[in-house]
Amino acid sequence: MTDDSKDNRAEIGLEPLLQAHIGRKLREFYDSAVREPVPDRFKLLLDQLENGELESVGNLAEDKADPA
Amino acid sequence: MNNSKAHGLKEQLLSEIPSLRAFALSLAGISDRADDLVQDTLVKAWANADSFTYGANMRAWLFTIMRNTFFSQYRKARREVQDVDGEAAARLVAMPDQMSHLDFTDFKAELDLLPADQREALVLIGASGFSYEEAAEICGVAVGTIKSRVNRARRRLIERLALQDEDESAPDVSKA
Repeated sequence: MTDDSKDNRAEIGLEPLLQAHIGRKLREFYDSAVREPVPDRFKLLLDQLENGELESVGNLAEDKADPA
Repeated sequence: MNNSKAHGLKEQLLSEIPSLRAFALSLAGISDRADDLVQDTLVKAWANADSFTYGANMRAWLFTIMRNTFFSQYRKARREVQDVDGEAAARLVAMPDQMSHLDFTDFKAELDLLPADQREALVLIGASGFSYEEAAEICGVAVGTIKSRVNRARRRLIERLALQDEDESAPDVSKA
C-alpha cells in the first residue's frame, strides 16, 4: 500500500495509530482534570449540607434546572 | 440522616469530586458551567441519598445524576439557541491554523465539537474507566447505542486528524 491513495491512508495504515493517539489524548485531558485540586467552594458546600444549613436546597436545585 | 451516616456520605462525595469535575468539564465544556454542574450534582445527591443502594457504585450513581441534570439543562438551552452546530462550525473554521501535524493542539476544543451524546459516551468508555454495560446504565440507553456513539465519536476525531494532516501544506484560507 503506497501513500498515493491519500484518501484511504487514514482508513488503512494509520487507523490503529490514530485510535491510540485519540485514546491517549482523551486520557491526558481527563486525567489532568481529575488531578486539579478540589476548590474550597465544594468543601464549604458539603459542610453546609452536613450541618443541615441547606435543607431545602435539594428542591431549589430542581427549580434551578428549570429556569423560567 | 443521622450524624455518622451524613459524615460518611460527605467523605464519599468529597472523594468523588475530582472525577465529577472531570466528567462535568467533558459534558459542559466551560469550567465555570462545569463547576456549577458539580454543585448541582452534589446537592441533588445529598437530597436523594436514600435512593443510593448501599454497596452500589457511587461514582456511577453520581455520574447518572450529573448527566441527567446536564442534559435536561442542555435540551432547554438548545431550544433557545437553535444554531449550536453552526456555532461549532464557525469555531472550527477559525482554528485550523493553530493545529499541528497529527496532533491536537487543543484536544479539548476537538472534543467540544462532538455531539454531546457522543462525547459523553467516548469519555465514559475511554477515560472514566466504565464498562459498556455501566455506561449504558448511566446514560439509560442500550449497550449497542453506547458502542455506536463511541465509534462515531472516534470516527469524527480521526477525520479531524486526517483533515489537519492534509491542511498542513495547504495555504491558510481560514482568514480569507
